[in-house]
Amino acid sequence: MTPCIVLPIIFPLLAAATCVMLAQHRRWQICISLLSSTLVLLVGAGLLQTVTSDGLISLTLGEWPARYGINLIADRLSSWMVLMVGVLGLACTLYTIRGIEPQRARWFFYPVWNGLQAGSALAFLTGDLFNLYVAFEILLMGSFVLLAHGSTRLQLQGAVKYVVLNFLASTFFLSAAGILYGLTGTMNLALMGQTLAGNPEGGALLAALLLLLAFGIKSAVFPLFFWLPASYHTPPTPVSALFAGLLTKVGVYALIRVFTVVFPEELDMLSPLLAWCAGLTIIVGGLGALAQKDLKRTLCYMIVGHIGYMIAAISVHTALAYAAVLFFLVHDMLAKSCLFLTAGSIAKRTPQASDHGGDLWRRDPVLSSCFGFGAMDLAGLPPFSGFFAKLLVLMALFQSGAYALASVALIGAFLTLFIMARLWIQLCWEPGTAATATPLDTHPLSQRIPIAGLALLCLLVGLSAGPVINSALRAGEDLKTPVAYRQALLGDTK
Amino acid sequence: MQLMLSAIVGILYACGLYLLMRRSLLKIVFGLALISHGANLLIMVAQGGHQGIPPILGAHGAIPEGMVADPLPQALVLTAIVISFAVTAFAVVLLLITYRHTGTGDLADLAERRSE
Repeated sequence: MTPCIVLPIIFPLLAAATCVMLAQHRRWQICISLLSSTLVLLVGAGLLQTVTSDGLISLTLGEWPARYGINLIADRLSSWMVLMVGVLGLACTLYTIRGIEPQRARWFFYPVWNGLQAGSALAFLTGDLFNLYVAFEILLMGSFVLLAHGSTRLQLQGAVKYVVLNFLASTFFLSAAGILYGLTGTMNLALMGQTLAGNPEGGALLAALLLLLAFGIKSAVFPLFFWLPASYHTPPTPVSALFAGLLTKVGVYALIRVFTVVFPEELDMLSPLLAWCAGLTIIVGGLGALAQKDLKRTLCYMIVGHIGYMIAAISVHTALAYAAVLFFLVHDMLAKSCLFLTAGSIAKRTPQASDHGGDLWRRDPVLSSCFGFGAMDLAGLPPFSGFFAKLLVLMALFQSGAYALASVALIGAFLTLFIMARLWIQLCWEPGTAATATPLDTHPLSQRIPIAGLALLCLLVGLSAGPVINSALRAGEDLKTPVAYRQALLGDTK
Repeated sequence: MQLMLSAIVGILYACGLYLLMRRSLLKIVFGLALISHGANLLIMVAQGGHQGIPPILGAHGAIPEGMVADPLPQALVLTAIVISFAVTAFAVVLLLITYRHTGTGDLADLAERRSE
């Protein structure tokens, strides 16, 4: 199984290369992209099973010793994330069949689409800081192109902000990597942590702050979130959905990974800062969503608000908190992608979706049920996965005595519930105007299947929360004391 | 030498950040380029004083006498240069397309037109 760890990166890259060659053949490009996502999903599931039964999988590329070589490594967290790349990739690619204009396929939509997924998979699997930087750049380059692809005015406005802020974040990341290399002489995360442990240096704290800034911008934490609501609603629906599900979560993942392995001491020091940022993110995300009228824009602010929960859990950094983050990540990826896909379908079917009044329940019960599932999941109602995700975060916060942050999280949860209920009433129950009274055109199956699939997965993860939470709890312990992870990265040569 | 290079890194960052805060898109693109140069130079400076020592092996793979500079930062910088080149190229094209589609390269104008 060990060499299989490269497959989630290789498949999308191969698919991207093949799609470039088949630029004139839309159907082939779609088939190849679907195949690649399915394979990533299967490999992700395989990785997860192997990691659960046999422990970490680590592969040293080129057999270089730990100080120089690049390691790919999969623990529970990474495997879960790779699995989610497959799930989201498959769902969103299915949606692209009828969800984007056909001529986009000729303008290299699918190569970039697959490249983005390759970059995410690499970010989740690498054990090397510079490699993580490269992975970020691959997925950012993909997201830059996808965001501007089609060049409508609105897209260009969003893309400018997105490109500038994310490029700035990458530069901070690169600077931190350079400083850390100067301090430790390696890019291997474990070796870096080992060298820095016990001798607190100003340089290390500087690098930690720069990395916090970089990952903070990428995961849209207060006060660094403004680019997200300005850009995420502009591209076509499947692109927004993949961004919403995947991109900010890569930032959260990188934050956990780098800070647990390299900077456990600095994480202690920075946790009050993280707690403040998390609380403000939750509040600002919730209030921002409250003020929005447009469905997709509301959801953009909900992304920001829910990032706050994960950062809140990271700020208390107990084993339970890390478990909560893992479960929250899985839940949030499913719910956000589902809601964005649904929002796209709803917007297509209610011409004045931005003014609401959809009367959707009568016109399309299936679509509105899916929206209801996603909304209830996001609001954290049992038995959906969102309930357990929020419960775990709150438990972690209470366990560590962070009562203020827990109350903020509860207020945020109430805001989410309120916003989702309001959206549901306006879109589904409120009788529409004369224009919306007309019967709906048929909703294509290629859009119905991914939406319904993701909505059911939201429910399924909630219904079978036991095994997922068990896996998350084990992952949390591994993240709190990453001994095995470090050993695997260091290999035989110390 | 170290001190001068460090100062240059600082100046590059300062100029880049200043340009990023301007309204003109062209200046923002220049700012991005300057900052990425600053970061590349920072990697070279942060690895310490090995200036002037070659990071290469001698003939037939012989290890040269005396000190050898660490080749890894140079490899890292090379990668980073390629990446920043790609991003800068993308930013220039984005600027061009934005200008063609909206007739302005000014961020404030872009925002105003949306509110119309």
